[in-house]
Amino acid sequence: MADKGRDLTARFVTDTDQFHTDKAAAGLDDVARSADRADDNLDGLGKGAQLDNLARDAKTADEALDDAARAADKLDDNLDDLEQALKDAERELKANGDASDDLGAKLRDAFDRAKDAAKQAREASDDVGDGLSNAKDRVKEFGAEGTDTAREVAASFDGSASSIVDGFQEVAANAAAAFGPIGLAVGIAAAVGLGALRAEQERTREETNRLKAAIQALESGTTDADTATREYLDGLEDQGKTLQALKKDADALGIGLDVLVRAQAGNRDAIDEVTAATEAYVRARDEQSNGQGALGFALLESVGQTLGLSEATADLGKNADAARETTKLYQEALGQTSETQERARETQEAYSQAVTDFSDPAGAYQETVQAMAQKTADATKDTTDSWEDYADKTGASLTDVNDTLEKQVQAAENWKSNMTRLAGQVSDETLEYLAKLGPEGAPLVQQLVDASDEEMARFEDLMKRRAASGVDGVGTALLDGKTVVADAGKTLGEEFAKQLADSIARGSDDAVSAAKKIRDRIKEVYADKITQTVDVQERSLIRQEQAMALRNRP
Amino acid sequence: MPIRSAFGDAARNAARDLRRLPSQARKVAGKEVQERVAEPLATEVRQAYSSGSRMAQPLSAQVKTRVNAEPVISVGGARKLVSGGGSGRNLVYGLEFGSGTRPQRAERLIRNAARGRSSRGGSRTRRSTAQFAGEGGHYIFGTFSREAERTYDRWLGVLGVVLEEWEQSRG
Repeated sequence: MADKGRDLTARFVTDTDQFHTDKAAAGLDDVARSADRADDNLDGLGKGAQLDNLARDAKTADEALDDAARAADKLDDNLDDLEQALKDAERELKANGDASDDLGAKLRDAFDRAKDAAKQAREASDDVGDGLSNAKDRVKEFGAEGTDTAREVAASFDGSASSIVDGFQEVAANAAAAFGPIGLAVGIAAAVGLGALRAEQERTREETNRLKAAIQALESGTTDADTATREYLDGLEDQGKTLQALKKDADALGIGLDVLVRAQAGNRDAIDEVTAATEAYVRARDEQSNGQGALGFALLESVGQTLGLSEATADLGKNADAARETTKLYQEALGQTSETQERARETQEAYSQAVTDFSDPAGAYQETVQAMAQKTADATKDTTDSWEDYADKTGASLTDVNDTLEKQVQAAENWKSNMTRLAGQVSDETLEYLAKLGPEGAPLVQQLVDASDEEMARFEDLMKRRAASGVDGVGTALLDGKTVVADAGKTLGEEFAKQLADSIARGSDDAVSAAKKIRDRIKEVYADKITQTVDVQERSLIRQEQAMALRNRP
Repeated sequence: MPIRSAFGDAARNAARDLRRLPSQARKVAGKEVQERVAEPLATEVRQAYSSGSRMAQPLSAQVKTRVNAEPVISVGGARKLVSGGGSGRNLVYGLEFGSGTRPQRAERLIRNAARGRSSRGGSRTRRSTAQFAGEGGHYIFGTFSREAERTYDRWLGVLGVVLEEWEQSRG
């Protein structure tokens, strides 16, 4: 007989969705069975009226749990439906005048939180996937010749620190610049994803066991119920405390809580954002007061510890093992590749120095010139004149520039305290916008703090209209222009920046196109350096490939 | 979103990443996983078929494992297993899933075999093979479900050891 079919191939890992891995429903079945047994026992003992009543109560609870189990079984492991089933159980208990009303409410509340934890776990899982995808993108940047080797190397690690040091030592100097030290560790850890899988498995198991214990306790209707539920709720309470601590750190850094949590879960972008925010904060503190840099480092250390809150992360439904491993890797990498990191940091700083500095003399000069030109324009008879018409004729003394600089420095010093004060006064969206500006937005923050209630309300209103009208793109383009001006001031000399300021002041070109010109100029200046860097990366990758070939030779 | 989906995503990601391991490491891992994880799991599946329905029992000898970094079990085969001419491939889909294109074919063969007729002919009025599935049904994935926890533990443990040893052997 001709047989053209194929055998049935079942893959245990890939086909996970084909069979039950969530034990919540199975747990409820167990509970229902134990309740059955308890019911039988009670029936057997129920000779007195009191025992009969007890048996009836237990049977009602048992039926309610049976309902829950059936509902869970019917709709598999959908937590929403489980929640409904638990509500039914609670209602049944209430109808019987059981003393467990409060307990039922607590259980439902606990279930809500468990559901949130499940959602967060899914997001964490997505983040790990994103991290891998980003890591691959970065690998591609290394150059066509080295891409395959780099990917193979990245995929070949089991995530241990030694594998990073052994395998990536040669490319670490360049890779660290592209990935950042944490990104490097996360990218590799995520490459195989076993940590994520194990953490998810353990988390599911723990969650199920807790839920099962709580439900069993509810079924028994004894004081044990309170104990079991309290234990479960205590665990959730710890999550709350952890969240509060995280929120505090996030506020201090001027980033969203979600970013910090994602960073814990191993999301590379989020980690980069946290690192950048921390560095910006440290820098701002250093500028504010010489010698207080230690505070910044203390904060950095604190954030590092926060990233290592593996236990809390597990409770939050995050990828605990991955986070723990990441932290471990990061700490080890800090120790073992400090030299590499130092070089990478210097390189990065060289590129971003102009962007991150706030008090730039060129910007101050430009601002002063504009202010004075506007003042001149105001004094003329033609009210339609603008400062641009007079900028060429206006000069600025060193005193004027110093005054402007002083204002900027003052605003930067007050930035953090002002942001804290604004936290209760403006909407979250506005606060987020101001936080995004960083210390560069210090003058605006200062003015908002000093503003009257009416002005503040108007600003809020304008911010809402701005968000609704989608002018973010325009704002970003202008901000880019400003950044490039600062860049030019730092990298190409103040003279060049002055020319740019003059160009803008003359109105010969709009700010954005002028900025683009400057950006092109910067590219020209740095083209050789970038080419050299890529060459070094490629050479390193080739060496790495050769070394691997030697090792793998039979 | 059920918890299972998050776990499923993590599992699929891990399986996908395993395919990107260097071939040498993949071979080593494949052999170890087959021997230490897939085989014990296959034994359970064989046991399930043995204790299953009359039509399931012949399949217990058709359960095979493959060299793969994730546990893979294959059931089927072209050899005739029942008197009507039905092969393992004809039986396995119906027994596992109950209906559909392949189960329809298997169902017809099985029914005709039971009646002592040729494998050709007969009507197609009945599409389900649930009556042959025995009380458990879903022999493969049902076993996977029962053995999931233990198998995952074993698999992750074996893979961890293999990757570590492979890394050390390179260095």
